[in-house]
Amino acid sequence: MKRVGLIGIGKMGLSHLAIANQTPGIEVKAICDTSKQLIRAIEKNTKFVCYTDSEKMIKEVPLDGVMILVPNAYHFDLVKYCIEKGIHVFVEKPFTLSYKDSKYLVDLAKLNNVKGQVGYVNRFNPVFQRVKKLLDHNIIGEVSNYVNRMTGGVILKESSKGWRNDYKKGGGCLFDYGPHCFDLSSYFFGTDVEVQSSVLKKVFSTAVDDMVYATLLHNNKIVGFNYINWSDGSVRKATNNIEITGSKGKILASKQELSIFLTEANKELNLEKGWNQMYVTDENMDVPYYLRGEDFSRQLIEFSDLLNGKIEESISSLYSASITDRLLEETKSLNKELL
Amino acid sequence: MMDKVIFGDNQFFGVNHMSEQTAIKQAQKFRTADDIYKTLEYVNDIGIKSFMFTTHSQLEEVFEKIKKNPKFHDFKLYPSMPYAHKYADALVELGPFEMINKFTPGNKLVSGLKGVGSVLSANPVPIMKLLVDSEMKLLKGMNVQGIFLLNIVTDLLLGLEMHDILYEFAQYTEKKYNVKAGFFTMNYAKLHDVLVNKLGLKDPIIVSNINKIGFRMNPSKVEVESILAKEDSYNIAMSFLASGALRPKEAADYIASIKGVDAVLFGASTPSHIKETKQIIEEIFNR
Repeated sequence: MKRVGLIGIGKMGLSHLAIANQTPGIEVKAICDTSKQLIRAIEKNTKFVCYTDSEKMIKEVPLDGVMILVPNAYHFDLVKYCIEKGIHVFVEKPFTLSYKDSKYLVDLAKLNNVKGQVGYVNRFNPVFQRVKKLLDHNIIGEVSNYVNRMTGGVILKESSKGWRNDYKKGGGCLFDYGPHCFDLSSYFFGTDVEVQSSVLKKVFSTAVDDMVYATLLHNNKIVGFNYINWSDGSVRKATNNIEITGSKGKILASKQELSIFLTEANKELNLEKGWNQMYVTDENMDVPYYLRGEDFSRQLIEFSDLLNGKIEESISSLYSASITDRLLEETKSLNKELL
Repeated sequence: MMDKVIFGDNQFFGVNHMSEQTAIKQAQKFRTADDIYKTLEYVNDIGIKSFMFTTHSQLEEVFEKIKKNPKFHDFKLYPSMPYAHKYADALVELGPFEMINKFTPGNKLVSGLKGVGSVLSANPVPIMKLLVDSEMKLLKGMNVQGIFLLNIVTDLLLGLEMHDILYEFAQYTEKKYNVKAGFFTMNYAKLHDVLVNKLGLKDPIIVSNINKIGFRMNPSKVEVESILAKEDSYNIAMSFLASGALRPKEAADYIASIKGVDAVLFGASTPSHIKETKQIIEEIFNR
């Protein structure tokens, strides 16, 4: 049983705590949050050992892994501290606020033989994992291009206040939704990628972008159009849709559904010529504990496997996350002015 | 004793676990309170007398109409709370303190105490009671026969091992509203163990996914089946059609073939589907 500590019991922290507490192979030994009120409440009502100072927690409690769930601006310092202590890390997305910092941490982790994982939960979605396998086996032939869309209704009215309208605080659609969208693109098509062009546009916000158009080029071969919009009132929750075109067919995928078009039947996979429809219900979705969807449970099973040496590297590694940070930076700098 | 056939509300609010497109199509059918009311009227007319729903504010208007129509006199309501998106998303978005502040503004009980934080730190039970009361206001004077805790909360408490609150919830619904508590969960095996073995609740009502393909039967279909067969809890099956992945006949054959399912909760949006599914479920229990 590997010992785990959590830092930051806010937004995502509480559900991560519940899931980690029920994940086989790991045991939550201590948690930490700077809010004394919150910590007092958790201490009174749960079994968890609580701290308000993360360095104190790490010094006092022997830990194999730490989950860093604090606001993005604090990721770098905490991850660095853990790596230097030889503690494996899980950190929420995005990895850090700059490619330079992320790259530094990738190298530092390697040097200290520390393993890491970043919270790109889409990589643990059963439909997207199926898509990845289909691509790896060239089921639709050679991929030439794709359209990756991520839309949701976060900012739906005129707003000039709050952290979401402030780049310095990690606001804007590019830095909120963008990481998930770009990370999915590099998961499918590889990390040998650069941004060719980008447009950032305001809709309701006054100081940040609400939508992003970015063209990515992978391996000098696959061109991908990434469309990201957090001001779409027509969607109930954040939605990812990807359309991938290859020489022998096409894939349309979301978190729940997968359609495959083939110009020739594939007997091995039992796929017909023409359209084939698959649903998330076709996959084995069993998890030891479910809270917010299987993807979140599977993500922490991966972290447990990483700590227990069952896998050498996470499919959502520090390295792949650092590439996502680079893509965000390139998108921002290629855009001439915020429209 | 609950009815064998219970009508649910997912179709009214654009929820479908398998397809976003299906959800959109269904939501288009139910744009107004009147659309929802007409469907419930049909449901009541064909003899489905139980409706289980999340305490969605859109239903307020529907209940006003139901109250005025005497033919709903034996129509039983099973509210499920707290409405997941209203509170749970707020919990994730705002964190526990701001969430409570948001939903209990100007509440005398809360403002009478020294800040919300101290209430929570001392004991979360008063907050739980407050939220139940606030949700129940919507249903004043109506035929409520059970109060259910939605899975986002049940499973969060389960995950954090805050089992006492599950117990207190069950006590409170009985004491204050004289009805049994029920629990939605996506973790049937774990919850059953806590409610029956750890908390000693007698025949607790548990609503969970039960279907032929084992969709969201955690930790596994086999384990869920073996615990259902113990028959020491009152088990309501939901998603018995696995969000449309199964044909009604094979879905029903499966439910009939296993032990321990006491009732089936289902949703459908067209009269013909509702009637057909009702007959299929009734047939399961007449075998």
